Amino acid sequence: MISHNVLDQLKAIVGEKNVFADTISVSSYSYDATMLSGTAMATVFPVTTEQTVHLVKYLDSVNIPLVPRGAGTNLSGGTIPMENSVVVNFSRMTKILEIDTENFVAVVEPGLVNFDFQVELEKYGFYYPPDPASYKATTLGGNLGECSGGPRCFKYGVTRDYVLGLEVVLPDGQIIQTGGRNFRSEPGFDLTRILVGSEGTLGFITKIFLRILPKPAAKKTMLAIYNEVEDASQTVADIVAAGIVPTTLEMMDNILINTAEDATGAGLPRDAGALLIIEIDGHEVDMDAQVEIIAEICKKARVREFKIARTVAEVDQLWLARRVVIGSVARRRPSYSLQDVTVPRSMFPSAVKEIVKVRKDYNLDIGILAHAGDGNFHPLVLFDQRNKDEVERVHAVEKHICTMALALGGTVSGEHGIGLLKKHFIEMEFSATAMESFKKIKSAFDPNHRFNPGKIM
Amino acid sequence: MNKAMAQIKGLIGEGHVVDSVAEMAKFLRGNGKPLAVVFPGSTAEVSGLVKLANELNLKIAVGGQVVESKGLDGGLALVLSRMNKILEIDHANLVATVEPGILHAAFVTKMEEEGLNFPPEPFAVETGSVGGCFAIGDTDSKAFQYMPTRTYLLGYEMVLPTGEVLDIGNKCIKNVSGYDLIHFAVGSRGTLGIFTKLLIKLLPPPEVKYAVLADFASIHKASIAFTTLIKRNIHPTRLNLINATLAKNTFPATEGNLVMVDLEGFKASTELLAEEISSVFKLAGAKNIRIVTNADEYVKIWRAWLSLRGELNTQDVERILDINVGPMKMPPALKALEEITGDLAGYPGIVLEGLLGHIRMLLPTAAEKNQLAGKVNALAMSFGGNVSGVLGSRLVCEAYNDAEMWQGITSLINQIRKQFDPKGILAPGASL
Amino acid sequence: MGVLNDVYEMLNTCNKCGFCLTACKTYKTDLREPMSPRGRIQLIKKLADGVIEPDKDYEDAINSCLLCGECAVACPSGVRGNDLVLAARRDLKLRKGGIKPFTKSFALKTLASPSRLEHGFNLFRGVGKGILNRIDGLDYFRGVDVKGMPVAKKPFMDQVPEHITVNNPKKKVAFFVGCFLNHSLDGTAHSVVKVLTKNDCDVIIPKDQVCCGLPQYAYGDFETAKENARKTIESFLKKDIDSVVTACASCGSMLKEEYLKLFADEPNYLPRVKEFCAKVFEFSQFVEEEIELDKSKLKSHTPVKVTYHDPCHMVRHLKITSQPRQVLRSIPRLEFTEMNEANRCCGASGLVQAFYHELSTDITRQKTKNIVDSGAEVVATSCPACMLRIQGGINFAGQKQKVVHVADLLAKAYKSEN
Ligand SMILES: Cc1cc2nc3c(=O)[nH]c(=O)nc-3n(C[C@H](O)[C@H](O)[C@H](O)COP(=O)(O)OP(=O)(O)OC[C@H]3O[C@@H](n4cnc5c(N)ncnc54)[C@H](O)[C@@H]3O)c2cc1C
Ligand SMILES: Cc1cc2nc3c(=O)[nH]c(=O)nc-3n(C[C@H](O)[C@H](O)[C@H](O)COP(=O)(O)OP(=O)(O)OC[C@H]3O[C@@H](n4cnc5c(N)ncnc54)[C@H](O)[C@@H]3O)c2cc1C
Ligand code: SF4
Ligand code: SF4
Repeated sequence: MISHNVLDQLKAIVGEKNVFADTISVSSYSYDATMLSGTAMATVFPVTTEQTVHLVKYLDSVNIPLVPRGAGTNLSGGTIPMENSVVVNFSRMTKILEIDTENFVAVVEPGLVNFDFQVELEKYGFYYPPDPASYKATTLGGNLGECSGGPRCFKYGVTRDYVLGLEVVLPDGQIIQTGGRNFRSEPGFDLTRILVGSEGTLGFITKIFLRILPKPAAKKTMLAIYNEVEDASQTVADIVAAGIVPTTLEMMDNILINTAEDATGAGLPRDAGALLIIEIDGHEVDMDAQVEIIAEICKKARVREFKIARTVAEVDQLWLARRVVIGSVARRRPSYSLQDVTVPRSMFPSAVKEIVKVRKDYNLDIGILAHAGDGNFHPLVLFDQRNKDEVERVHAVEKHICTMALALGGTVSGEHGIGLLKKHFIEMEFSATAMESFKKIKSAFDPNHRFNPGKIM
Repeated sequence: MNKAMAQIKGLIGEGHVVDSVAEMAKFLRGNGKPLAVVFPGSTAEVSGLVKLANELNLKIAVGGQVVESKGLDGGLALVLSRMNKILEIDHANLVATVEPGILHAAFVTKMEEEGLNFPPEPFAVETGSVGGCFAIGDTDSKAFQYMPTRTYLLGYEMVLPTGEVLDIGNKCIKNVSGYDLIHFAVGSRGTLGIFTKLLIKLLPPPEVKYAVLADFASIHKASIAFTTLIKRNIHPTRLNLINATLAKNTFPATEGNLVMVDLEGFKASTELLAEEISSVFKLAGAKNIRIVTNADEYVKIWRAWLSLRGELNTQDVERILDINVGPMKMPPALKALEEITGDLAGYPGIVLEGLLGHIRMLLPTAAEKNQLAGKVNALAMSFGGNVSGVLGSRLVCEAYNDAEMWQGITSLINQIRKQFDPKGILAPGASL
Repeated sequence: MGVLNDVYEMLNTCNKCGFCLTACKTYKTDLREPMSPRGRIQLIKKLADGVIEPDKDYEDAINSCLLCGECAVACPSGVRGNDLVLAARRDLKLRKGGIKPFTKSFALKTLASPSRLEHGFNLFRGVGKGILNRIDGLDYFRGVDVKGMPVAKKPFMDQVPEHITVNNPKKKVAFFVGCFLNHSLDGTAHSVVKVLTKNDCDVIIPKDQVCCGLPQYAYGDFETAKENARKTIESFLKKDIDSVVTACASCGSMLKEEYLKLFADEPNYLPRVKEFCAKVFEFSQFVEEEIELDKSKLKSHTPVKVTYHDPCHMVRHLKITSQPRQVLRSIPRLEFTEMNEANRCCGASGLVQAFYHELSTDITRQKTKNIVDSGAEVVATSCPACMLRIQGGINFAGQKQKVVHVADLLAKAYKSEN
């Protein structure tokens, strides 16, 4: 429960309409896209940097921790609040402050939704490459919080590669600006980079300078359908080895093909073992030769069918299927556990084999979804939360998969972050010295553990 | 003193320690007077030296071939030239593991031989090491296409200022586990720790590499031609210009200012683009437009560019002022700059990196730097940019009259340094 | 609670992915979780789990939903947020015996009873509007364009006979008028009759028809809704008719689809409901599918640029999108143009516009902007509630576009040849 005094102060800072402490409001911020939950004592919506500063300073003075939140779609428990905290929502800071296509820069507020940003950029023939599958809902602040990836990372990189600079409110209420609007990086500690992916534990992002790019002149989207998932993973390895850099190499297996098909009716082959969505972009005249090489590689890997999307509508259908696939599994079982392990690309086939084996060993439905070009897996373990025995097996599988990824020289998180959910696994990944170094970073920024305490470590 | 030397020699062997002033000078830059120049051969030795330095309260600075001696009086200069091996080249994952002391330029060549591409430009061809490349973390003239240096670091082994060894990162190109210490360390100039191993991301090589050279009587016309290319969505690998003064030394045949375009990509489009760029230059009044497709000639051209870049980065650094503005803001920014400097073509040095909106000035004297910096920064700010570097950040804060923000940043940085290096041992010469 | 138990599987299927957030106009406008589909669903689930109480804030979350169904389309997991909200409203009704506060239930009761409704409109026509007219600046009461709101001089059903016959009728069509066309937009009702008669249909307008029951249904009062539904079904089925036509998308979805759900628990009566539902057609659907429009009879004087707004009940419930456009395209010299987000809710949604007027006004503003951007002079649509709401929004924004029913444009095209 929040005291009247605190509530009044909060209202004085952000205004009556931007503070809520009723049961309904706080319980609406008790969750994110994981199965964890926690209840804060209030939720506030700053709409300016100044308000954010005042919030931070005031709450610091009364020893109340703050949990920043965008759209709450993270898959790491990163926005689960603790009892005595206040949730700081950036969802009402949605302005696009500037789009400067001539100089490849856009300046935005953190609550802007990735999709709304893309729609606006589209008007100029531009785009912002990092678009997680959840881009229709996610805020750019949240994307930065997790350093989100997306299906185009293979060629274009992840969120951190498109952040030029930040305006950040530090845990002591100090505003700093890191980087700038220019692409050239500045020498010195790269504060921008340590903040991106810090899950709101080091600073609150209140303004973002992003790099934007003109849309590529040409693009080809291909669909390769396989009888066996192993053949698809061989294709991935071969494409990379051939020195081709597609924008996208997305894989889904039979289970997911079917749930995606249920959700979209895109016309995916329900009996296929796996499929790959392959996309290349660049100059018009370079397309055909690359498509030919890719077709050749697919053929060698016993592709059952290789299609090139002919129309924009066909491309959209494919992407729609890909984007909804995670949610679509709920059509089969009510709960899912989603892993985010990443392995070196050469280990991709081994990891696929292992997951297929795990599926049998633990007798669980596991759909395999992968940003295959990046070696980033999202095995989707399907179950029912109400079934205790199943839940236990799911946890065992989670651990098994993370251990496998680490053994193959990978990481437990490629793009979703650590939050609360994977805290236990990162100690498996990092040495004591590394953990100690993380603590040093946290202490330098937030000695009193005010910002999103308990997350990451 | 002698005890310290004995301990050092005991640690890494007498043959790897130099302590005569004359001999040391070969490995030092600047006027500092370190106790010794040492050549550790392994991570354990580096760690041992750092621990010792903590015990004895000695400062430490590192370098690949040469060490910056500023603030290093009585301390240790670590030259990593012995730690210069390529430990692994992993073609399947497009990564390499190297020791930090390998020369950057040599590493690039080696990768080319292996059919791989490491795009970052060496900071200084003769001396720059791969460790230094990431310690500096430059954004070079190829970065528009290939992204900044930072993106090529996937992990490292590092001896921390307290002597512990931090091993972080993996061969995955996507990794958000824990805080991003990996990229944070890029640009830290040896303050966070000493790289002892680097895990480097590589790319497949481009199908072809062409160059387009053109002589421009007017820098302004050239810079307008750059913006024409950008408007047409033509983004070559490099889009550079060196002014007449610099061109005279580097490419004596140049008439006026030299525009240097690099095109790395697929053959079909590269051929088209080379033609298109040539015709844009022609319309802009350029002379001697050459499309270079011959590999030897191509290499020669860019080697010359890199030497020039290296000289400016090292020998002339005191006289350098760097400005960044938006790429399309270059033409008006150059006009305004000319009002301050007079004729740009005849100025001691002007280098443009067109796609990055980067203007580099070689000032007549080092003394002029302080005088000019404020003025030039004001100019750059009016075009949405600033003077780069620490100097620039300070000037920007000053311009905004924002002492508080400046203090905020510096105190945060000092906090971080203090957390990692409580005794202030490492990189005394580096200001961040 | 039984109602929530019945939908618990679906509540449980929501995995909180948030994909529905962007689809929801109330969320995009308010930007708070309780105003989102995910938020509403999670609250309903929490109520079902006994974790929260159905307090006023809960009611606000549930009652501010537009029931536009956009969340259901967006959800990859097949969760239908609008159905869950409907269940929650039903649950509230069962718990509390009706929606509080008093005003809301008054409005619902008024709608449910024809005589009360008429009385209400009469009052408004006589005294109410006069008073409002005299108050400066009170042109817009809670975002509803009060001054500009049309009121029929006399209810449409008092203006026409029960049977309107033509020579050589090809079909016998019953017209379900609906409250709005009867009391407010009587001109549109006449347009419907005209189009039908021009196309050789006898038109039967059962005088004992009542409100379809949707307003009560939408707020969980299934009892009253059922009562009205039964009356409606009986009053139409007792006539000798081929089809039932309605020009109100909301009534249409109620008559054609929701009745089936409403009576799912009465297996004995269900066949009769099915018989009725099978006869129901939305106006443009009827024109396109059941009669052959003789285009040679259509003339139009002045060229006009028209855009079309898809009412929620048309696009997501009845799934009728091409037919009204076809009708429009068949009118000579009418230039059809699509607006952005044509199928997004206009913000009216029954009582939401009255009780969450700020929210609703913001949503209407977005619709108005899309209309203005489209460059159209006329907005056609298929639902009287949307017509009034959008016209109000346009007037409020100081714009000039006219909002009409598809039937109005079509009827007008017959005029010259009268
Ligand atoms: C179905 C589904 C598919 C997904 N697909 C992808 C995918 O393809 N790729 C991918 O990378 N992720 C994906 N995600 C994960 C998730 O969408 C991303 O992590 C996203 O970036 C979170 O954005 P958000 O706005 O929801 O942020 P939130 O979940 O609200 O917050 C994310 C983190 O950022 C912090 N934060 C939020 N705003 C700020 C701020 N202003 N300042 C500082 N910290 C802040 C929060 O505290 C939290 O730690 C998916 C999720 C779902 C449910
Ligand atoms: C921002 C900036 C400002 C400068 N200012 C001056 C100046 O005022 N005066 C002047 O004379 N020169 C200056 N220089 C130039 C500098 O002294 C060196 O000449 C330059 O860094 C290149 O050195 P190098 O070729 O020997 O490269 P390297 O030996 O590769 O070293 C480059 C940088 O990286 C660090 N480094 C190298 N190896 C490692 C490692 N393994 N781990 C961690 N760090 C490592 C070095 O300490 C050095 O800072 C400046 C350079 C920069 C980037
Ligand atoms: S309703 Fe569907 S789209 Fe919305 S959060 Fe739940 S599962 Fe996701
Ligand atoms: S029905 Fe419409 S208003 Fe209601 S939750 Fe769904 S999208 Fe939002």
